Amino acid sequence: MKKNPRFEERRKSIPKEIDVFVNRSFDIVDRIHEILRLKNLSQKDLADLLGKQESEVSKWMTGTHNFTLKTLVKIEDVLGFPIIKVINKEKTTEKQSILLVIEAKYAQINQGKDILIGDLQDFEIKQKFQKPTPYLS
Amino acid sequence: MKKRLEIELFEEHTNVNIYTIRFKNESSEIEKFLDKFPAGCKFDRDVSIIIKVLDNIGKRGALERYFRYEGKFKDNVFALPIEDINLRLYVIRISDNILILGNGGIKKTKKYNEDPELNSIVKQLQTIDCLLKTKERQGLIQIKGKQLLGKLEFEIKS
Repeated sequence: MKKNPRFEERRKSIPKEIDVFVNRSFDIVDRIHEILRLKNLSQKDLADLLGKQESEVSKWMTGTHNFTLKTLVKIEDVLGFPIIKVINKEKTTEKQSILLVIEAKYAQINQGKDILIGDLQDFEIKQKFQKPTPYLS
Repeated sequence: MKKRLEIELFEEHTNVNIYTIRFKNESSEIEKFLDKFPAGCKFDRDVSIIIKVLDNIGKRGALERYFRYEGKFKDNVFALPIEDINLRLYVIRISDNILILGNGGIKKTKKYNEDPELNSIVKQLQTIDCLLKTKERQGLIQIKGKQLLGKLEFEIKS
């Protein structure tokens, strides 16, 4: 697909934070729109349910509105459907712990230190390191 | 005086073909916009957001609800209504699958028509939009999916 070189060059320097923010914002408004469609409701109906002006809700639905959690919860409440989902805390913590250990082990390898596969055993990632390498044999 | 212009393909995306306008012997309208706000300028963040919004539109479709009418309801000239940025980029939304990028600038006034630069950009897009509708009615251009077909060279009064 054709891409413009000047846009491509600018894309390279787009901060991750902007990338994620715009994508998520569009995800949120598309999700709200999907629920409205499922419930056969219009943006005007949503505005009425929220006690807001239609123009305000219409502005939200353009794709880059910075929704507050309070507003999202209120929309979820009046529509009766979830819009955003928070990732389970325990799973996140476990994954982050594994990543921290892997990072630490790689740091040791980079410093020229030998590490043992057994060091990683507790984290059930041993298989990834089965192939013998100068450092992991 | 008449000015010659061409509608040219700028980028292709999954669901939208993005075109722009090029007046004879000039940079394209979107290039003029990028020239005004080069990388590293104080509006760099705003340009990044605009590009990301266009990427999302390219992926999801140029749906009417993603745009804000600028000018008259009878035309297809819209602004990308991005919150919390100081720049405005104007476009002609032909369909859910075809978008034509125009020029834009810094939003200094509440309404575009209070600013001579933005007003002139919007008026020019309205003229081009009107011309495209006429050419389509005459069968000289066709809209087929993401494509604008036919002779995409025109003349408008400047």
